[in-house]
Amino acid sequence: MLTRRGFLQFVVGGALGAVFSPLPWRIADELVLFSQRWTPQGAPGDESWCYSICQLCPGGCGLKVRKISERVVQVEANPLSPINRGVCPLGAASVQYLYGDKRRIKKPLKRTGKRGEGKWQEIEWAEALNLLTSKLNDLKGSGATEGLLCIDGSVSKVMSGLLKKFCYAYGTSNYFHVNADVGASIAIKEMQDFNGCVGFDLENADYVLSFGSQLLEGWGAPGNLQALYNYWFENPLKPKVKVVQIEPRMSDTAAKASEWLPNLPGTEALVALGLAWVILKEGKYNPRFTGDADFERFKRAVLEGFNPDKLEEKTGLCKDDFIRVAREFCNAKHPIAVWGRGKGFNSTGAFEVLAIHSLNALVGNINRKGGTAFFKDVVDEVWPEISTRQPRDLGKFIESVGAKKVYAEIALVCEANPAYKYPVSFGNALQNVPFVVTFTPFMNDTALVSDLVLPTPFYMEKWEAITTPRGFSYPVFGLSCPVCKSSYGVKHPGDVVLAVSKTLGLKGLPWDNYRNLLQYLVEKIWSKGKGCLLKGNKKVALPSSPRQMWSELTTCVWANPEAVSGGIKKFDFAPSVFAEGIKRPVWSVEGKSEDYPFTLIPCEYLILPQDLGAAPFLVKQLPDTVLKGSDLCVEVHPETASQCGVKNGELALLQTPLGQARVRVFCNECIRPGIIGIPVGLGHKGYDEYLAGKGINAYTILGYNEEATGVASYVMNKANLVKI
Amino acid sequence: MDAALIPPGVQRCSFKKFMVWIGFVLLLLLWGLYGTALCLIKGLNQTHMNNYYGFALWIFLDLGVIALGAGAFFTGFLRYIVGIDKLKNIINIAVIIGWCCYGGALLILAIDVGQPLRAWHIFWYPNVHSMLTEVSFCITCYFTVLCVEYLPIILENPQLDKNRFIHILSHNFHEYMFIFAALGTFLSFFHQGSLGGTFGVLFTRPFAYRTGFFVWPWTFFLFILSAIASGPALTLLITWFMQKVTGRKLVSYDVLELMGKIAGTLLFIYMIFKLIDTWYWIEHVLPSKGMTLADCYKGWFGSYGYWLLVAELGVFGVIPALILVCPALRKREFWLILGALMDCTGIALNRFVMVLQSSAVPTYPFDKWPSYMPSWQEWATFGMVLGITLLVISLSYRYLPLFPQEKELNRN
Amino acid sequence: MGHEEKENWSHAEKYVMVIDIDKCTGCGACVVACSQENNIPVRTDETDKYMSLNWLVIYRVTNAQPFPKTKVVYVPRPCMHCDDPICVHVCPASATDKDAKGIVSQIYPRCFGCRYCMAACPYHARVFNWYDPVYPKGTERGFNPDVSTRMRGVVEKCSFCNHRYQHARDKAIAEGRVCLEDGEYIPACAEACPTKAIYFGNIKDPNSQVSRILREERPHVFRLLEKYGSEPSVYYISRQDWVRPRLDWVLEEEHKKYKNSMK
Repeated sequence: MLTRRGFLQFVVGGALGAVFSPLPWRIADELVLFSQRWTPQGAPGDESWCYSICQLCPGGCGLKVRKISERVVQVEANPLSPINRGVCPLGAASVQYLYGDKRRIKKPLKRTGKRGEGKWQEIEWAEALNLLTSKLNDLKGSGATEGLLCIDGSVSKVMSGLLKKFCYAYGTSNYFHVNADVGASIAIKEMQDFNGCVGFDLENADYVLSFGSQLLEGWGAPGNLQALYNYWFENPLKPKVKVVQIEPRMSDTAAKASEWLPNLPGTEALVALGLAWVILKEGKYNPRFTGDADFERFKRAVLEGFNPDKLEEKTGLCKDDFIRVAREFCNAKHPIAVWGRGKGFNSTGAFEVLAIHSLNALVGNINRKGGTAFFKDVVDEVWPEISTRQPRDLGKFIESVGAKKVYAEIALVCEANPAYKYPVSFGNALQNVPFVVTFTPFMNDTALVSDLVLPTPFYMEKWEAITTPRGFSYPVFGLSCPVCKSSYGVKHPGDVVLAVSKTLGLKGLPWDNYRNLLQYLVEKIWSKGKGCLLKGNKKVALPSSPRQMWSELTTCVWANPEAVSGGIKKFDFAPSVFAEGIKRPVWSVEGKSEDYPFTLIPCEYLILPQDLGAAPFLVKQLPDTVLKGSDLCVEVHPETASQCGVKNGELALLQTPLGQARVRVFCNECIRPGIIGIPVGLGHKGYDEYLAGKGINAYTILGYNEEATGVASYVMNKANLVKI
Repeated sequence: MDAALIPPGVQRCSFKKFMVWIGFVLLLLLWGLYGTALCLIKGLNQTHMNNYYGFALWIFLDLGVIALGAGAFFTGFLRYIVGIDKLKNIINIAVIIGWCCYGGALLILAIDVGQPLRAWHIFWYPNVHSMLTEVSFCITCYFTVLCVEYLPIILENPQLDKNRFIHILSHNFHEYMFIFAALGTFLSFFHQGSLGGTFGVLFTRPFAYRTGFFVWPWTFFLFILSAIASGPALTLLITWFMQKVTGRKLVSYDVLELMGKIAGTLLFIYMIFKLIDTWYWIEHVLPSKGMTLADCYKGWFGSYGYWLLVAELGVFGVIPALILVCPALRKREFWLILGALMDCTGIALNRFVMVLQSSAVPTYPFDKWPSYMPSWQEWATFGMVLGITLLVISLSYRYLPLFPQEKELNRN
Repeated sequence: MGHEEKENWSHAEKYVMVIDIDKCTGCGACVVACSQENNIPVRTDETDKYMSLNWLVIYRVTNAQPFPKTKVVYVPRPCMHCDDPICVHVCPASATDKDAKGIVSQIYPRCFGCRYCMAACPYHARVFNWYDPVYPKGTERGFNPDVSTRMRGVVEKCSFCNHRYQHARDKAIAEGRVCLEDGEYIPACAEACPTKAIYFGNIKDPNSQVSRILREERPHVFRLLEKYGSEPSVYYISRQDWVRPRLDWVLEEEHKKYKNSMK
């Protein structure tokens, strides 16, 4: 029977026993362990390192990849790479791209619902290849092979070369590369009768005049330019170079430049010619290219029409700046004028390039140390037939397809995203293209509106050759080998193209697979015997066999710094582009100034790639002055904002002749009054929840301007900002 | 219906009326519990705290109620240690208010931590240099003391008191209450002080940082002083409010006036020190951190403007101190209550700026002032504490003989 | 850690970071590399920067002058690993500590999320896990096994990639060396920096790169919030005279003196 005493004894004894037993400690311990087991942890494994080359942009940064067992966990710079010393944020986000399940495509997809509805059927590769081949075969059979439209966005020139060869073998001339600077190639063709690589020897330059080129934000080879920045400003008190940035808005590049000259948007050509005026007037030009009739024509026209006095109001820069900068420029030892606004992916027009490049010619700095460099890339030399063709304007072509002026039956999109860059015109064009096939590793905006989506490997999963990085001043060739096995059902687009051409019986593409093609190229380079291997700063002679060369090229690169040599055939200061250009306003912009008192310009950011959607880590890094919630922020000067009656952070309606959008206002002293800057790279429909539906695609409202010379590009628009 | 539980000789409202009131309180409590549950289950993302406001509404309320709940220990101290006998008439309600304030603070603290399951780490891996360790040890111990102090009041319920054992136990408790009062005073003293120290030691937060004496920054002492200056005022206010609500006289006016006098005198002393401290802070502490007063306030009006400084030290500092030390004003109910109310407001403002403004003042010259508005969940959690307080006071008032004078004062 | 222990560092190791503001282009590679290295979660909406979880952030600081005189610098800000770390002093549960080589550690399983350290740290280097950590689906495969992921409700911060020190140390021991060579241990941010604006190394080694740079650039070196007195281990260099008073509380007369000293 339970007595009171017994009960008390039981309770007290029990309590004491519990305290001295391991039980409470065990419980406490378990609680801690329990509260730790809420998150997934990385599985341990053996560490290994491999080399790779980043292919997220045409910059070609050498990478060292850290692996744990078979998992890729981090990327770092390859110390042997002559291109980069660290990585850029895109490269650093590689692992997220590689493993982003919601972006990556797992298997070939066939559209089942309406276009763009997002209904897909996963099919096997064999079926997908059959479908593609039969479509191509049918078109070929009908004889209308020009109906094949190829939109290429490949980073590797080898892959692009293969696609070009495929197109020509198939019988279509409608090959386009999304990154081709059409304006620049027209200008260079006209001035120098040259087709090929254009490079800028920024490393050896001592005066860089940048006409809106965002040198540190994705222009050229980003990793290389960052490394160059360190080289230039190794001792910031005694810099090796003076960088003058001519740009309406203070980009990161302008912020880090030696000097920032905020001009009015679209007046870069005028600024260049104004500077030329000073040089010509003072007779400080280098005689290397001058003296011909064309130069005299140029001189006359410039002296007549581009007196900085008259340009002050048009360009927004003062006369003194023109004179000072022009003198500094021609007094420098290795001055260079650089074109390609923003990241340089949007053409800045032939006239603008011509005007800027004429400055280089005036100081004689072409194909010389610290100047512009013109040379043939490896691919151009191996396949000379493809490099002679002038790039064409994709935007205009798409417009004509939309207007049914051009016939297109099949669109073959390879690792490009035209649906993002040409949101309106590509949509229209699609209605007239019965079959769209997209090769892409990611579910991008274009894949969403395609009929067949073929998953391609991410750069870490494939063999690829990297040729001259964009803007590099000599030819480079390197190999990137797969660092891990793909966990998706991917196929190399090169393998697909080669297999398809075999089935179609196309000539001139004898390789079994893409790797064979790479081996062929390596042998070609080796057998030519030119150039050397670059290991960091060290130049090493070519190895004794192509086989050894192959294995060397997976860790370092081949380069031929001597490829650029001396003379150029001719130089024409005043070709037809110039004669046309000086007659009219540089860019045509629609809309009345009364309705749209402001100018809209694109703002580009390094962490906002365009064709390739930004990785989650990059979206996370966007300042809240670019993206707030899902609202896009436009940058304006506080004066402009108060003119519109809107305050910093408020929502407003951005109106342009092309349409309107709800945006947030970000007031900033770093932009010229009267200008509205809109970030480019957001507003994607594809990818994953980290990117889709955030912000606005700037290309929907940025004007597609036509230059007097017939080149069209997204440069600016008229706009108004209205309080909501 | 519950007549047997009601202490003999006092009148209470009908059971039905009481239940309607309790119903309201329960609704508040339920809302509070819902908000609390959300915070516990979904985490602190339910609040509007952020990386700049690691401490926000909850910590402010904690500090506030702990200061205002100081009536318990200080009245106990004066009653049992100093021997001001008159205070026996109000000590019970002071203890209950104290219990509610400290219990509530403890509850909110437990919700305020990101990992409540690990809250015991503070005892298991204590960092003796941390003021927060001191705070948590003190509050836990002192709350236990308050429970012990509350217990004999509960035991005085007529039904419980019938039990002989309980009767004797209760009597003995009363006999030895001075020990607990002393213990409570000691603990609470350090508790209030270390709460002040929590902010005062932050040499990296110039708004809060103060130099000090030995290991204690001046805020340590100022917090103690301000707590005992406002605790009696809140006890006074609540008692007065209970009289208004119940329509009965519970304590004689001279007891209230005495509480007012205590609060006023202490507030007066506190204000002298606080003003000296503020002057020293402006003249010496801030410049030593490279800052000026203008860096710590965001203009004159709006959030974090200078008005806060004027309000805390002037309107709700010096003025109530003057009202309460002036016997002529204190004698008039209106002024007594106004003075007490302003006293409590001033001290609450002090706790507000110590918590919120010291987080908000930009630490970098280029940084912006962050803004903060509590989420409803944060208010709800406070609502829960308020509900518990109302419930405890209501039940205690109805069923326990809290006010020794009540019978006499209401004899017509 | 008390002040007395500071003098007792018997090791010949104390790691510091030197950031050359004039070389930082604000590209953000360091932040992304840090996030990848330290398994930092990403929520779908991170535009509320006060809620966003980062160990390293880049502040964009202007000279507060109107157009077109505006100037901008980018200031990467990791944890300062202070020598008198207020967070270590205030943590009630001893969940954070300063170790012998100068790194302020954070013990996630011990932290119970009181956030006192966050209220104390003037650098905002400490961030709280307001949410359960989320990772884009599939990217868990890219987890670094050397760094544990953190659960909701705890505070976390930059560790100067302490695990990299362990690796370097293990390697040195395996090779029979006592000391680490300069550059053998550097955090992910310094590794990634494409302009090499971040230097990292042992300040107790007079021949290390950081010692050399701090010596050479002495007139241009400063630390953030120096007067707050927490003795940060991260040094900044800028040769532009407007930068320091925008980054630190410098009273007017001091700034004049400073400007003159730079001339």
